[in-house]
Amino acid sequence: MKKIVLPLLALLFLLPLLWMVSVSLQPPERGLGRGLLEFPEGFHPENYGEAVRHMGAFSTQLANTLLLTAFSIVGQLFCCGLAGYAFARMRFRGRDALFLMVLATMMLPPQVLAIPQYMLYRHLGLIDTFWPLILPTFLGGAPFFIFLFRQYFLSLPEELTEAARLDGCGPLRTFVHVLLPLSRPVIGAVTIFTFLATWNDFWAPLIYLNSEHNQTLTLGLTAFTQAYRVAVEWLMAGTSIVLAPCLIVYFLAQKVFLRGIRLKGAKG
Amino acid sequence: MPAVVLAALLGLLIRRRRARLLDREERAAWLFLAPFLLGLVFLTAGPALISALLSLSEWSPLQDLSRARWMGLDQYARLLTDVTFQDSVRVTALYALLAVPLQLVVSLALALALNRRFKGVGVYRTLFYLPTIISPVVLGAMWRWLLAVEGPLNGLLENAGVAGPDWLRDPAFVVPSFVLIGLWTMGAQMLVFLAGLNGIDPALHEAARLDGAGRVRRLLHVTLPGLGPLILFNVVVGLINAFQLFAQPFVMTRGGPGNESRFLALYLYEQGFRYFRMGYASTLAWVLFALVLILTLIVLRASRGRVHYAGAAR
Repeated sequence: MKKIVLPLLALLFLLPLLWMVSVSLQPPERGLGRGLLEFPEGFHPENYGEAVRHMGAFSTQLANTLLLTAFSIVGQLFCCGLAGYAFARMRFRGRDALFLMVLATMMLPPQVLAIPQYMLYRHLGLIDTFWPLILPTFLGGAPFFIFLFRQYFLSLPEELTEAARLDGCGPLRTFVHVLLPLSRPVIGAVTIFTFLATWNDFWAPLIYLNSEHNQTLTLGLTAFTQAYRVAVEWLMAGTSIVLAPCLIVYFLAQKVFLRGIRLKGAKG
Repeated sequence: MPAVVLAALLGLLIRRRRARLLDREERAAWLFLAPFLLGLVFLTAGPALISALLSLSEWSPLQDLSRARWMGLDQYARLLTDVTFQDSVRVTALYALLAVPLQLVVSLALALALNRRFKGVGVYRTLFYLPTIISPVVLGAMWRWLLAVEGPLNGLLENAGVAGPDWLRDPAFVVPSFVLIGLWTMGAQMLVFLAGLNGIDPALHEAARLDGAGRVRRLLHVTLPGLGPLILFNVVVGLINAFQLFAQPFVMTRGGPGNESRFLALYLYEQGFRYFRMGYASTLAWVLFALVLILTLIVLRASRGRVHYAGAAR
């Protein structure tokens, strides 16, 4: 079983990606070729240059995507870190009820909120700016990340925050100087998940960003796929370019994905 | 403006609280929660309320909001005569019906196969999870070509002596095409199962083995019951995801042929952001939510008495 079936299955899972990369390097005019196992010959990295040239304002798209990703990461860490700390380590009335609400909002489909949010941003004159994409990360964040931060802080020994309090540390200083230095695993996980979600996002850029100078990579790639008569090798070069950073992050941070987030803090 | 009313309410609440706050910690806690609370009120709770009202009216963003027309339940009655809506519910349900169970079986099988210690098991896990990190736009772009009638998948089938269909243009094969992509990206479910298998007490397996239970019986009577809550979790999350399918059909088929891949989320987008029927799009959003909720409740109901939680038994 594991000697024959698993390697075959793994190959089957890998074939679409291998095909994509090999086609992205194929000579012009070859077309699709027949068969997943029939890899094209030749090595034509110039296809990548062509893809970049045909995706529209590629450098603008790349810069926009990077900017959005960076701000979203900061926003999620800021909002969810603070909220997670409050839920985990501070006493206030209505804490548990409010935390239940955090979990309940996870159930609401994004489409229900999308239209009124669009109306709100329109009213504020923020359509075709980056605000509708960045603001939600600073205000509200993702409920799942609040949950992650809370669980992580709960796993740290309570004596840490108690000791800081007895030393006269206020909540903010306790948070910044005691908890954050111990929170690298959860900060790393939220950073990576936010990176992927923002880099790969299609819905929000699609409805909020219209002008060419505001386009992101996923929008550029979509326009590219729908252009008339695009050579398949250019298109696959384009998809490879958009995918590459995600692959790099994935392989560098495999543990975060595969082992789950270790919810263990410092010892004693 | 409902937003103004909400802001006023929030202000009142905060002032009343402030009067009672003596405790420094409590004040700090609300301060720490302030960004989150602002979002909860203005970007979640407020919009949810407005969306419910909007679903009973009609408005185009090209007009002023004061020109919105109140439609009442007529808006929902429209669904009964909207053939495209009915098509979109049909294809979305078909997709969910095929994708959710198949993903469950494949991810469970892979998790069982990878829940052992052998050389290279980490490589396999990395590989099978890999497709889940790919952007739906990239997925759409690559699979559109993989599934082309003269494409590599059909070439592979031809080698095996089968004539492949025109996947994305044949009404009978377009939903299965998306199911196939769904199967390729089932890594998250596999990880959930792997975590669950890790949590099953080995003593239970040992006891069953000593009682003479073979592999199959241990799978049926120890492993599967142990995974019960996670199977339920994966079904519910799978349903939610199935009803969210949007970017792949947007990039690959634009809903065609006919309406055969006009999934509910795609139809909703078209109504709201292509035809600017924001009211009707909200109606569709609530229908989508209701369908997912009803299906989830049915699944929970059906699982009652069959799913056991380890914590409850002790």
